[in-house]
Formats: sequence, C-alpha cells, structure tokens
Amino acid sequence: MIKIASRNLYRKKLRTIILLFGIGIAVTGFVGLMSFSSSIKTTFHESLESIQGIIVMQKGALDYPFSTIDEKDADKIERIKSVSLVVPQISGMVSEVDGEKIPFSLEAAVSFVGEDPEKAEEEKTGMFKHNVVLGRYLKPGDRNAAVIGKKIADDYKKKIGSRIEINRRSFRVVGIYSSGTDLMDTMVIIPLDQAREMAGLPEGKVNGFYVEVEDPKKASAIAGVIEDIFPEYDAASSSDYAEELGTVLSQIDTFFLAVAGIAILIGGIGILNTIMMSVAERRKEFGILRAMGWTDDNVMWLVVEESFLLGLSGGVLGMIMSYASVKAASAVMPFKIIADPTVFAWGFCIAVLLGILGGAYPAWRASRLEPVIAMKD
Amino acid sequence: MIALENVTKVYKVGETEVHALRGVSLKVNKGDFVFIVGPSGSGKTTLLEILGGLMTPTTGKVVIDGKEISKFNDFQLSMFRRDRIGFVFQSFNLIPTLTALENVLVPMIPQGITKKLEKRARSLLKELGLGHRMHHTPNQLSGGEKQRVAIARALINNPVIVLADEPTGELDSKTGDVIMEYMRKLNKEENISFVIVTHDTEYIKKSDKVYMIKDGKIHKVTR
Repeated sequence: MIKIASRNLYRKKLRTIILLFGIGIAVTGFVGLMSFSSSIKTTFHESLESIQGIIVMQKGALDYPFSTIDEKDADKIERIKSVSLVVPQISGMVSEVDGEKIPFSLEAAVSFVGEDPEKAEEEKTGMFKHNVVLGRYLKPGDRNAAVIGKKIADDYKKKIGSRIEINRRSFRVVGIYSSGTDLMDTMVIIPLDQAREMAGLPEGKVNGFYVEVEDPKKASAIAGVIEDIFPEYDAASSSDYAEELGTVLSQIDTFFLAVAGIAILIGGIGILNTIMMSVAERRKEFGILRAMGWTDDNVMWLVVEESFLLGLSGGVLGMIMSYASVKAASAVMPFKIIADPTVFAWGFCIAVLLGILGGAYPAWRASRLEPVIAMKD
Repeated sequence: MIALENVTKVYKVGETEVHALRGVSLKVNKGDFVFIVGPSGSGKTTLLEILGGLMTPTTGKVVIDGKEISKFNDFQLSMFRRDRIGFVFQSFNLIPTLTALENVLVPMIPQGITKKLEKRARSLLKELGLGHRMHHTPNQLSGGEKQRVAIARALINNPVIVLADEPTGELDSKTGDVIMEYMRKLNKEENISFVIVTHDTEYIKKSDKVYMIKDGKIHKVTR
C-alpha cells in the first residue's frame, strides 16, 4: 500500500516538491528560532556566570559610559563586611585599532576597560583575569600594557609582545584572555589612568566598581547592603542580572514560539490543502478500490500513508535545511548557534505529526465516499 | 447459487422518487453465461451493482452462495466483493499510476501480496495474451489490452461470478469480439459464471440465457 501511496505523491511531482519545501521551511523556522533562542540564553548565561562579583554604577545608569562615581568611595565599600576587594573601572568604546576605523556593528565592536594595576594584582574572580589563557594579567607598575580578548587577538593577529594601537595610543600586549564567547572577548584591558585619559574623565572619577566578595553566594545580599549605604549607586550581582535577563529572554522565547507556531500552522494547512486536492481529484479511483473490495478503512489508511510520507520526507528535508541554516547563522552571528539535537528531534516529530494530522480529515472524507457514486465521476 | 427475489430499488433524486427496479427475480447457476439487455435507464446497471454488493436493495432478497448479502453492512459487503466478485467496467477503471501487473493485484493489496498471488496474476495476464505488457502502465496500453487487464483483475480473487457492465462498449467491434471470446473461454474452461450487461445484439444471438430489463422489470428473452 505504501507503494501506491508513494506513487500518488510522485504523480504530481511539482506539487509534492513545493509542499515538501513548505514543510521543510516550517521545520527550519521552528528549529532555527528555537536554536537561536536557546543559544542566546546559553551565551548570556555563560557570560553572566563569568561575573562572580558585584557591579556598582551611578543610580539609573544603563551601562558604564553613562555612569560617573567617585573613586574614593571604593575604600568605603571595601570596608563593608564580606567585601574582599573593590576594583575601580573605566570603560569606553574603541573607535580605532592600529589606525583603522572600526565599523559600527555588534560583531566588530571593541571596547576598553581600565583597571588599577595595583588592585588587579589582588583580583581573584575578575572575569578577564580569571580567563587569561596566554601571558599574564595587569600587574603593579604596568604602563602602556594591555590584556586583550581572544577575538581581538585573532582579528588583528596579535601575540604576546605585539604592539596594538587603541584610539591612537600604543600599548604592548602582555596577556590574552578567552571567556569562550566572542561577544565577551572583544575588550582591551589597560591601566586605569590611561583609560581615564581616553574616556576624558576628570581625576578621581571612574565609571564604576567591580566588587569581589568572600562568598559569591552572598553577592546579591551584599549588593543590597551597598545600595543601602550609597543610595546614589546601583549595585547588581550576576544573579540580579540573570533575573532581569531571564524575563527579557522568556519574552523573546514566547515571541519566537509564536512565530514558529505560525510557520508550523502554515505547513499544516499546506498539507491539508494538498491532500484534499489530491483526494478530490481521485474520487473515481477510490470508488474503484472500494468496488474491488477495499474497505473504507483501507482507503483511509492509503490517504493517511500518503500524508505521513509527505510529513516524513518534509521532515528529512527540514532537518537538512535546518542544519544548513544553523551552520550558516553560526558563521555570521557574533556568537555560536548550537545545533541542539532535542530541538531537531522536535522539528522532525512536528513534521511527521503535521503529515498525519493534515491527512486525517481528507482521509476520513475519502473513506466516506460511496463507491457507486465516486466511480461515476 | 445466485438468487434475486423480488428486488426493488428506489432512489431519491431531490423530491422525486425514481424506481430503478420494480420487483426483479433472477437465478444464475454456476457456469452460466448470462446477458442482460435493455435501453439506457432501464435499471441494468443498478441490477449489476446490487448483484455485486455495491449497493443494497430497497426491498427484496439477494442470496449468493447461501448468504443473504442484502442484509450485509458496509464492511461485510467490502469483504464479499473482495472474496467473491469480479467486476469489469465499460471504461476499464484501471489505476493510472500502476502497471498492468500491479493493477491486477490491486484488490488484494490490503491483505498483502504473496508470491503465490503474484504468480497467479502473471499467469492470468499471460493467459489473456499480455505476457509482454505486464510492466506497462494503462496509458501505454490499447483499449483492448486495458480491458484484458481489467478481466485479469476481476479473476485474481477466484470469484464465484464476474459482473461485466458493457465490457465492449468502448472498443471497436473486432477488439470487442476478442474480449467476448476471452470471457467465453474462461467461462467454459474454468466454469466461472458471467453476468454481462450489453446492448450489442450480435453477442446475444449466440446465447441462450438472455434477460431483458425494461422499466425496472426483467423478462427472459425466448426465441
């Protein structure tokens, strides 16, 4: 019976091919969006996990460039119980590397972060220091020294000892760090004073503090204490960020699911329509089969098998298309898109399910045909 | 072995009732070669459809091989058609996507095609002179060849009776003669009963079992 079913699909080749691509695209839409969303999550969570301390900024500031605070408050925060170290930081965008302008894009962006080399020495959990893979981190007495992210090292072909020009100031590369995500490996860490000159901040002012605590689990509580003492500051631990981010990401997720749902629905309607059409065209044949002794169930299964085959082939095509698009997207995007087997399995199951469901109603209709009437078509 | 007792069939076409059969009684014995003639709209096809279990009569009894098929439900009728009946139609009614051999096997697909069945299908096609056309699809066959495939298909299940509705109607007279000859031969050699609806008087002349249907009533034609 499967042979007849596949022949029937072969009969209208173009229609079948168009439909298969329809299903394939629906599946790719689903797999692509879901992979994208789960990769965003993974990337952000990985990035957040690498921040174990607390970030202190001016109240209401979205990010470092919008925040200015007094460097001397660092000592006061350091005196809070459980706080082990406060690292004042200054950061900004890099507009030129080695005399070349950087195009404005998420992918190519480079920023600098200034840290006091004296404090850097004592850091234990700092994301950049923690992830140094080649050379060393900043140490007391460093001037014109830079620790750069792996992506910059790759993009600009820098090694330990290379010179790198940042906004027309020359630095010597002393270390390279790699956090595992390209998104985070685009920074240049330089001594605080030089960063202050580049950012144009007055003496005694910084953008924010990186606060290390004795027990990372208490980071959130300590952040609360800092805000109580300095109401003019915002203090956030990575778990606070994660919470905020989680809300945003779940909204993105819902949106993606809705879009994927629409894609799947369209695929389903496509199958339904195609099978309906092909059933209507073959009323006479079903009548003949019934006359030859096929039962109504036999006819129904024939149609279900056809649509099942459509779903199955559409699913296979969808897997290939999905894999290709995930790979392609991964190459273009600033972070890696993971080809999650679970998402792929779901996509495949959806295609097969679409096939069966899309064929169910036409199959039922075909089985209800009166043989004598259908044959006279 | 096949008996129709006072069978009537009433169709509803909109508000009006059409009496296709008005009390038909008929007996067909094993090995009979029966012709049914009559003008169009006389109820010939309806009679054939009731005999073949494609529809049930409004009143009356249809008994085939001791079974009262007029009381069968849809599933029982399907099984009955599959196991006992062979149909041959005027317009061949082959499945266009399948080869001659596959078309012959079509009735048996739901229960599974065995090697034995395939062998039978091949030998039927050979017997009907189509040994070299087995893997051709219907659009590669002539009218006469198509009808021979249809006859082989009607015989695949070893039917007790073959019901043919104008089997030569779409063929030229020479090809029609050949088809009729094949059916005669099968009737004589294998003792298969045939009921053939036709309007071709040439064939009737040679037969002694001819019935005439007119206005839903049947009469034996005597000469």
